[in-house]
Amino acid sequence: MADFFDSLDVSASALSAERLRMNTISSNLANAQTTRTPEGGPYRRKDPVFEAQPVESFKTVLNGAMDVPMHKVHVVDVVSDSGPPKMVYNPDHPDANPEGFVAMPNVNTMEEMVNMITASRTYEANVTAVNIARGMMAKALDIGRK
Amino acid sequence: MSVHAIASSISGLGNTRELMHQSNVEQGTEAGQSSFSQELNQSINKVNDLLGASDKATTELAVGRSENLHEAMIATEKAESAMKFLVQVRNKALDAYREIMRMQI
Amino acid sequence: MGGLFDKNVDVLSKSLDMYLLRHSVIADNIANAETPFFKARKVDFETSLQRAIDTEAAGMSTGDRGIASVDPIIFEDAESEVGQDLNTVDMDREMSAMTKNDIQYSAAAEAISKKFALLKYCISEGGGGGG
Repeated sequence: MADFFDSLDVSASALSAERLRMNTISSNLANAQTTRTPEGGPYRRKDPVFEAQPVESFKTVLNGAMDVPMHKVHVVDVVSDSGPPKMVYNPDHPDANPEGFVAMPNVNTMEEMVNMITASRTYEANVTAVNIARGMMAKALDIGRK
Repeated sequence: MSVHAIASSISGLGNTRELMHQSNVEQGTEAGQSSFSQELNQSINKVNDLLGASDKATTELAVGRSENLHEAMIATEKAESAMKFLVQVRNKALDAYREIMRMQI
Repeated sequence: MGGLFDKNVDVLSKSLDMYLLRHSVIADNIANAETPFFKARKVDFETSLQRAIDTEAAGMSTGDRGIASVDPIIFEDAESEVGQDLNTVDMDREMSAMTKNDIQYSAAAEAISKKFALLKYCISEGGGGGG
């Protein structure tokens, strides 16, 4: 009936997605001061883009009327923020432009920290979902064991 | 013959002579004194009621009408204990009956 | 009560199915808490289950298979708050709903388990007292 194992897949996909988000946040924080990149210009902060992808399982196809699609979290892309870089006055910096301004990455540390906390909290919530699912399955196996 | 007599005879490891005497009394049941069969019937009905109450409590939980988890669990446990006790009483009564029937007159 | 297994087992078994479904939907909501445009969903089966029980209790025919054919309703909660990316998942609500659902599942599973245990007991012990 209801796809229990699909539910585990859904939770697992969310764990992967949040882990990826954490990686991009770490990358942003680590490169908050990077003024040189291979593509030229300062580092641009990155953001993952999530998309809900319906789970096409054999069971949902079979059940027809009981078709209740669940959605795996799919990371479509990791996009670079296209906003303008921060211009900081620092004429002694080797990458300063003729006016003495250095183009610094548009990474807002506070924003990244908040995103990190949200990602962490979401990750834990999905772990709880998996644990509770496992508890329910264990309980089901206990029926008739007495 | 009352259930109390049965209970005491069980704990006394079956005083069959007392049992026999009291089963003779049962033949001519006095007014106001219930017979064993009546007692048994009552107990069966009570167990039935308890089982029904337990079913009702769990159904209420399932349809979300009651949030009283402990009430349902207690009701189920009560019914289960009463049923198990009834089965044991029935077994003992059957034991006593067979014991009596085996006696040479 | 005709047959070995009473209606209560049907009701509890159906509710177990439904709790499972509800968990899937809640896990789905939690997984997509950060997905833009995702709308949180809820499961309601209690009303239709109650109706099926009442219909059967009143002795009326339920046409199809009765309690076993009760269908859940999965809907988007119209009152939920909408976030900036039009995502309507409220994490705290989902977490507490998941915990409650877990307890209800355990309770129903326990109730069914005890029923079968009692049945087994009567079947095996009822033959005792011989000799």
